[in-house]
Amino acid sequence: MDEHKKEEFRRSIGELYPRLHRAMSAYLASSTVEAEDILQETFLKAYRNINTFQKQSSLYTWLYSIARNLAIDEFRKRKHEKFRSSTPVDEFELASDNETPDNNREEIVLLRKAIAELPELLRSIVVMKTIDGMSYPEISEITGVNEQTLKNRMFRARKELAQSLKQMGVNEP
Amino acid sequence: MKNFNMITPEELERMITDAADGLLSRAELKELEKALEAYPGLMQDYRNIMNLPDFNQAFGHVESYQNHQHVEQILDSIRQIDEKTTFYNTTVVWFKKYALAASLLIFALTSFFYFSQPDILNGNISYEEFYYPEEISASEDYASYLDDWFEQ
Repeated sequence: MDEHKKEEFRRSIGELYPRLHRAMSAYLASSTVEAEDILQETFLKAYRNINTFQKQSSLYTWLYSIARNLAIDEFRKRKHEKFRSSTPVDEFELASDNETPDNNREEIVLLRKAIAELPELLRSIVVMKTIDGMSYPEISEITGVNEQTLKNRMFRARKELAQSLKQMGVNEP
Repeated sequence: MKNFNMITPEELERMITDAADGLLSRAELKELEKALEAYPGLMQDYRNIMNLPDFNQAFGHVESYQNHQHVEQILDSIRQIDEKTTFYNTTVVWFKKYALAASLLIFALTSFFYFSQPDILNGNISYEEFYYPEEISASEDYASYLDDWFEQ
């Protein structure tokens, strides 16, 4: 195995972990699957298969697709389990918790709930684009869906989010 | 500047996505809103979408010490994988390198053991006798018993 590639990978874990953890925590917010477990498995799987990594894609998107596939496998395994949240959506740290006013905090909790209720693909796209900050070509690389279709799906996801939030009473006069 | 004439609803949906992503200029936004007037449903969706709060603020960051602990756990597991791989590689290399020598050694030892038997060297014992020594069976016992009985 290429020692140089392995060494480079080991050094990048500390840098890539926090971003991937945040994205996966948002993606898994409504499931019984723990982001930490998925990430541990992701990095080990990637390390074992580092020789198959093509430099055309970024290491982050490669890791992200491994993590997403592992999460989807877990969803399938646990399909029979009751749908419940392992990380309740209101337990996430806020970027600036102390300064967040109560009404804004409630809105954020509802926003998380609305994202968590989206179907898997729409939730993936919303998390990758708006929370993780990926570009459409990067999302296309991970999901295998072309950019035009992704934008239509993003429209659907936002439309559903707007409807959910309206039902929850967010943004109502 | 994008052309908003003869635009399909699917294209308009993509334009709304671009608008929500902040990719359209003011002039393009005005053109989009003009095009949406022909589609009241889409116009309502556009307004709702543009009114959505910022998703990015909904998920904060985990404390860095927690991330550091998880990273350390992953690095520990990687070290264990490396140790196992090193042992595996060493044994495979050793086997490939010395398999022929080991086979020849085992052959030489068994040959030495075989030829070191004095009876074999004197030709007093056959190959079959050496490996399958004669045993008196129960039927042979019974036959000799009958012989003795008739003789009496």
